[in-house]
Amino acid sequence: MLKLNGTTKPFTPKGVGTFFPERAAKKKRVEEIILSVFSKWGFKEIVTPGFEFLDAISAGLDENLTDRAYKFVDRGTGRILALRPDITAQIARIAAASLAEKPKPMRLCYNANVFRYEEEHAGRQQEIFQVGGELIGIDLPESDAEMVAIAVESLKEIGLNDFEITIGQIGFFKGMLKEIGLDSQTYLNVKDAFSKKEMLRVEGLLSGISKPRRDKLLKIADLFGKEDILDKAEAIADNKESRKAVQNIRDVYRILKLYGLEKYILIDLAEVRGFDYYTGILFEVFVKGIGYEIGSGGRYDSLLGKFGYDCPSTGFALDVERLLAAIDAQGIELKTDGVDILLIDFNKDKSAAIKLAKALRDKGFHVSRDIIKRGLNSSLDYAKEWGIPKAIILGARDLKEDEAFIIDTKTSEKKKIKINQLTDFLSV
Amino acid sequence: MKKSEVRSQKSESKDYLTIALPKGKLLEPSIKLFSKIGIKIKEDLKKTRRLILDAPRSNVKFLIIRATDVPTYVEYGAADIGIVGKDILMEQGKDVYEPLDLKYGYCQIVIAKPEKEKLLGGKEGLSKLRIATKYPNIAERYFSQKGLQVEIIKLYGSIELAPLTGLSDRILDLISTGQTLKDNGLEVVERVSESTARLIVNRASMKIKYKRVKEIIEAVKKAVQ
Repeated sequence: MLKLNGTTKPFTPKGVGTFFPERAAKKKRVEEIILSVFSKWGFKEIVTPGFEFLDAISAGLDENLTDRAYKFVDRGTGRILALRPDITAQIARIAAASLAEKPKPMRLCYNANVFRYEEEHAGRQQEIFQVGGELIGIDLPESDAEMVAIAVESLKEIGLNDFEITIGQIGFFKGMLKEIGLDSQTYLNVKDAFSKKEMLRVEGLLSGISKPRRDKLLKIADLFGKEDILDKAEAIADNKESRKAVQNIRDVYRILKLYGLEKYILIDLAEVRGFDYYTGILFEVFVKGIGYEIGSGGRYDSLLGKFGYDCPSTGFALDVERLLAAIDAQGIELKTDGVDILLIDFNKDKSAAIKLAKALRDKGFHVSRDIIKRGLNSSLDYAKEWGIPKAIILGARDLKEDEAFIIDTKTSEKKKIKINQLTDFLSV
Repeated sequence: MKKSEVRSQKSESKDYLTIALPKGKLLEPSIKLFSKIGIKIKEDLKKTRRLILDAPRSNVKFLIIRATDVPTYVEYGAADIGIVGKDILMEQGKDVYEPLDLKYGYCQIVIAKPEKEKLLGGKEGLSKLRIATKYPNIAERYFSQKGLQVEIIKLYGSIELAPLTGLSDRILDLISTGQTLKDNGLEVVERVSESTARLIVNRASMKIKYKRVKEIIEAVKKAVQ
């Protein structure tokens, strides 16, 4: 029931939330899986500050992200601070300032939350949990392919199968617009209409332009699909920038084929959205059952340069909450750690119970002791309620000193067993 | 193999699509439009009260929902495709693709005032006008672009009543013929925008169900031209 007496203020602001134990365990598991994939590919974890001076990172944020950052004033200096709205910009700053001398490439990964002011939109939180990585110092297609391959491997390790990764490159679209030759206001309008795929509006905006050139631009909307899209794109592009973009995607795609991942890949030259810092490929991850992307990445060769150190880079991040939603939508079981055993002890002297609990934990079991003094049935109810599969009982009336009961809390099946045989029995 | 089996196999190979349609004026022309491209519902629209209508042969189901909820269903992916007025899209700014203008459901978004009230020279610039509207976001954007300070009063219906009762000075509302305005002694002072029905598409559906969605967009495009 909604409590109408007393305060009507909500406890938490919109867009943040608590992960209760079961969900927290899933979240942790997902993060561990992705981080371990990164680690297997030779990435090292980096931890960035939770907040920063806004002017120190704003060079690396697109305007939209700067606006959406949570800001406050630093008491010491009077400068404006921002809760980190983006890890990639932070890593770019750190890499440019402190890691410039290190031999390249650098492979860095992170597991962190970012904060963004968001209007109410599907799947958007104000606190976003991300796991991601950056491959700094290489401008070759092979490094882009590596990031896509890591993304695919992460999703597969989690157990997701029904997903697609769309790969595009904004340079193709930009080159085409330049080739057509639009004034800057029309350029912005066309880009906006394109981003919503409002093709009739695009047609209207281009009404002053000759038909062959206009048709070229309109064809971009259909550049989505498998590899043959690249040929179609090449056929309409008559400028360096667009051709370079197509060639680059072709190269990345070729390497992804070596990885055997082409079935997950769709070429998407019709998408013109995304952060301004992307200079090369841009990829997005879509999962069946979820109406928005669950992760994205791409190449941003000029980002480190904005912090004074010219260096190419590519990266991606997956949104952990969206991944959890995808896991739920596809009905995937995640193996998470829970409590295996509840140790219930009726002896006055607790030393036997403490010793047994330690021995079991040393063997790798997750063991809680039922410290509260209560009847056996209420202890078993407790175990059932918290999903603890087994209970071990010490010091009950019909037990000898070296004996214990072991109870399956679901079936209530009860068995008497010698304490020194317990660990062997449980290990089977 | 019988003919019906062939057909059912063919439709199985197609992705299942959910299409959200708005209750009200746009519903009938929308059902007709889909019927024209071969996506037909079994039920008689006038008789049924069901909120989910099936077109099993086409592997499509229609959700019949409030117009203002259509963009939400589509943005979350609860529906792959939706039909909704541009007025609602402008107001809500949801993150969806809007590939087609369906041309029907033409309306205008206008500012209106009581006929009897004189346009006071300079009054608008001096004091804060009160604007009653169902579209607070459009109103805020419009007046701030004009550099006018206004107080926006969000209402849910019968907007025309607001200036008659002294609740507001003006209204910003959607009109089709303008008859309701006239009947309530109001007249148009400015036109803000035009609105027609739009076909909208969820971002993920556009990629994951590309072939199917594309087919429908192309067919609808031909049907409305």
